[in-house]
Amino acid sequence: MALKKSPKPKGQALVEMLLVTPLLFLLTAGAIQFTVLFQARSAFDKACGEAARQYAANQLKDSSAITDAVWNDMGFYRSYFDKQSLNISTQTPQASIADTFFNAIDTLGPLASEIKSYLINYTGQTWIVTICCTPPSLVAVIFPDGIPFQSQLTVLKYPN
Amino acid sequence: MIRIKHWTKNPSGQVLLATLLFCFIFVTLFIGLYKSGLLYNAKERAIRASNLTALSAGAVYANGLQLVRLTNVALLLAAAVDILAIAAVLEVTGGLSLILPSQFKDLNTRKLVQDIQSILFGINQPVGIYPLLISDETISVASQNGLKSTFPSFNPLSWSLPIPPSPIMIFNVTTLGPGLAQAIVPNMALKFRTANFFLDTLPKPKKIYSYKSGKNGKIYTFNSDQVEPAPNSQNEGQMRVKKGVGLEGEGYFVTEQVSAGLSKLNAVINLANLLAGLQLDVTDRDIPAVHNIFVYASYPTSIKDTQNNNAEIQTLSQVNVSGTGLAAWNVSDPPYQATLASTDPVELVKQLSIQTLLSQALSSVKLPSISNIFGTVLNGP
Repeated sequence: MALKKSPKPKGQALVEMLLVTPLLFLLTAGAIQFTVLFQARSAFDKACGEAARQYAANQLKDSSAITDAVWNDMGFYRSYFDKQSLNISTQTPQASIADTFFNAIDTLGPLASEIKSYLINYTGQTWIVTICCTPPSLVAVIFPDGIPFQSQLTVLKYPN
Repeated sequence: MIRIKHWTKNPSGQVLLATLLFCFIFVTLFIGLYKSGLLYNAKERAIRASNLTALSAGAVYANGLQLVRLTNVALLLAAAVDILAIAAVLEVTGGLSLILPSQFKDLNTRKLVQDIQSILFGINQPVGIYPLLISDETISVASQNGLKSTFPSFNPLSWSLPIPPSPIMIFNVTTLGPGLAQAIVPNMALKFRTANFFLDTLPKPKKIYSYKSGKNGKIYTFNSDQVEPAPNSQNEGQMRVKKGVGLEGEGYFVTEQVSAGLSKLNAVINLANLLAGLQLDVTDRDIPAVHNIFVYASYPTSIKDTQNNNAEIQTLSQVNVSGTGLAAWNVSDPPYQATLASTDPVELVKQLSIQTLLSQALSSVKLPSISNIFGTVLNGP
């Protein structure tokens, strides 16, 4: 009596492949999109730094110029951000010991203040830059409202 | 173990284990990706913070150099006042004699201005007020940019050097000789110009060499173009008459002769020494002028390193401050500008032996080796 051949596992590998491929694709795409997200974050930080350098070189005169500079310096990654959400609040840097001394000069009168402003002709700003990142599609599932990014920096410039 | 064997023999168990392995690999991949992403972002922020801090230091430095110009103008005015005072006395005496009357005293208001410059900018002083201001502002900005700041304050009553200090500012180190420890002390690479600088343009006397012939006793003389070095164990500076150019007595050893114009030279030297004691205005220490600051700092992150400590990124930024000059007549020139410069830390360390400098300054502190530090971040503008 001839042995009956066991049936070939036809289609089993195909089914397994069909099950695993979307998952594999999803994870790979997720990894890539996370990388893009990190690069977008990095581009944002870098753009803030570049704008601060332009400010230090007296190339940016007002807040709208600063906002435009940050936006333009993000280059390709602008597509992951919402320009309307870009907000830059500027503050005076925290007082150093020198500031405490210089502020004391102001109390001596307007003439002393005038002389001080002539001699100490550097100034600075602290920027708190916030923006909403619109993440790529897969990451957007986790963050449907976008991801808020914030960057803070301080720079002094001369001449004022 | 039996349970795992059971699962491995069972097809559905095999699928489950494969899935678990698959998930483990991807979770590891994602954690690695996440951590490297965080570190990459931290590195970018560290570079940015360091560059902006260096730029800020450069801005304060540039303001200081403009102050030097202004004080030089004040010095010029003081000199004018002194000259006018002398002229007034000469007017009284009819201008007939250069010998001033005994009751006359030089006002010397220049000295007052020079003393102020000296204290303000730290010239011929251990440290000046303005260089300290540069340090103070830099430390303040570094702290606000997220760099590690271990300087609590510059309160002179309770000031002590934090260990390890951070950030470290290195002032004008590229033109400082081998004694580099002073580069950590805030300075602006300035000095008083002295009156002998007017003599620098005078031609220098040429050296004359000679030998006395053993045959006829005649003395042959040669200029420096006609002799060449012939060092030996007895005399490393030995010279001889050049060979192969047809000179009399070629190859003979020669000795350096006293120049005929030496008496004149001595007179010039005496005059130069006299003028060297006469201070004029403040000028650059180096020719050509070099003003730069290196900011070496640490940027703390929330990422754990292998010893479960928060990782710190070391950064180095250089800023150059350049302008047209510090003289009083440059006061209306464009202000000094601070610009970031590309820093090749490895080359810098090789040239300046910062490792030695730091180990001398902080002998009791164990710092990461410079090669590791600069391997972490090769910083640039």
